Amino acid sequence: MKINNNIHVTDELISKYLAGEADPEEADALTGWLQQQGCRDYFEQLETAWNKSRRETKPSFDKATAWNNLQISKGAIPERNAQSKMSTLSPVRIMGIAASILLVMASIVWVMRGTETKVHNKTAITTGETETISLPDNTTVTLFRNTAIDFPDHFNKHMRNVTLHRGEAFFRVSPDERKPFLIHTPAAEIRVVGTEFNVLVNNGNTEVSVKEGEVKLYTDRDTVHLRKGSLGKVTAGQRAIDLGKITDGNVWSYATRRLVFQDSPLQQVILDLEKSYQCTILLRDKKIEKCNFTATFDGDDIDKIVNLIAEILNLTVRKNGQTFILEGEGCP
Amino acid sequence: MTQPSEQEIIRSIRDGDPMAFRQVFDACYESLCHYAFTIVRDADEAEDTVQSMFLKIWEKRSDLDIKQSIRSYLFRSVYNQCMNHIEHNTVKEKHRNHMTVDMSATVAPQVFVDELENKVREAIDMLPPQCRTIFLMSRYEEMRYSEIAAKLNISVNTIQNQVCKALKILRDTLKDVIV
Repeated sequence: MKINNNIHVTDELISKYLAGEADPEEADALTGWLQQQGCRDYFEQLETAWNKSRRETKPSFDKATAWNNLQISKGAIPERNAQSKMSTLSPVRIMGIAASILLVMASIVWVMRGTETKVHNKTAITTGETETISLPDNTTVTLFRNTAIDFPDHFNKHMRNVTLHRGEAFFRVSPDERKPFLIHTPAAEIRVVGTEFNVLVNNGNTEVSVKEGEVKLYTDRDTVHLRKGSLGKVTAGQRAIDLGKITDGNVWSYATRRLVFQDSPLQQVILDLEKSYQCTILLRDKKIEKCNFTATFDGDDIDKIVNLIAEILNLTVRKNGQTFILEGEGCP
Repeated sequence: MTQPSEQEIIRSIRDGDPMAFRQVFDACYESLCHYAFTIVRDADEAEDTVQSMFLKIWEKRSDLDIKQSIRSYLFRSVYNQCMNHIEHNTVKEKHRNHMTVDMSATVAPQVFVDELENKVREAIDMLPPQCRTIFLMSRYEEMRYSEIAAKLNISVNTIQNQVCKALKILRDTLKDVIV
């Protein structure tokens, strides 16, 4: 075994560590030792024996979440210094052994997701239909079709963590200032206290549109505050966040069932309707595409909406299952 | 780019550079939590301890004076915090009593026990009597080595050896199952 800080890492030391008896110098030496080739495997064998002897799995600790917890709920630490450059974030600068420790820690975070003794993760997956679920804190999430989300059966006392793997979801987060709500997506993380917003995860990209309140969107390298009406987009592989205004006011209509059209091109109207309702709308004539449409619908059913559109634009409707076909002269 | 020395990082933190502070945080947070967890045996509590220590360091950054390495300083602080926590925690006492009762439950048949756990349980039963007693006291009753030593009137060194011995036997059992 290797010597680190003049402390010999032995089986006795490993078992002392697992039993919570290691003094800080020993623990420091042990975590340093773990970076060496092969040492981790050896350690994990003993650790597994220790955990299995009481049906325990190793807890997971997430430094990014923790850092944000310190920043947000305690409000003590600024995000970045005015004069410090992005490059100071580079892992190269991390003191001494740090980079390799991060690697080690990342790979140690193995089994515990979903298998912790106390918290059980649930996964909700939608396929053909939009569905609304309630989380343990009374937050509701409307899942669009083909969406997958993970959430625990109860939130811990610091954080409300959920993971949106794919698809699209509209969140109505119940306010709790002491417990930030955090959504993990493949490309970014979204933090809120209590507000309403939409999250789209598509090909590894993440797009957040805020309906009410304010959310914080961040990646490894960038952080933005999104206010009501704004949109933040994270593209896979890029760390900077694109900002914009929400152009499609019906982006979350599949959840709210409220659709607002203001002189909207009929093509857009149809896209929005098809997203919110399980239906297909076909236009028989190219000229119909030139029509614009203005109306507000609030919880109306799709037959009523399509018939109203037809009436206003002087079209006829044929319905075949969930497919509507619109025919008529159209617009000049 | 050359790596800044420990003292440079400490100086940056003292000057209020949040990036320098975050580097230290990122590099050490998880190791410190795992260490704290071994002592307090509660993941939330472990995180609380480590986070409040970091917060305290940041709040008192202007007085920050670390002569040795940052890591040893942090490990030492976490250790002290955990020890305070254990000393002041009467809840822990209740928890411990609860756990003692729980011990019998682990012997009872369980529906979803995997083969690994069965093997471990068998192996614990097969340990030499003193070794088994000590291991169970450490593992299930969550007693500290010094407490076990006092109760059984043997040296801490013996405890240490016996726990290690037990763990190695259990590890060997697992090896057979995994391979």
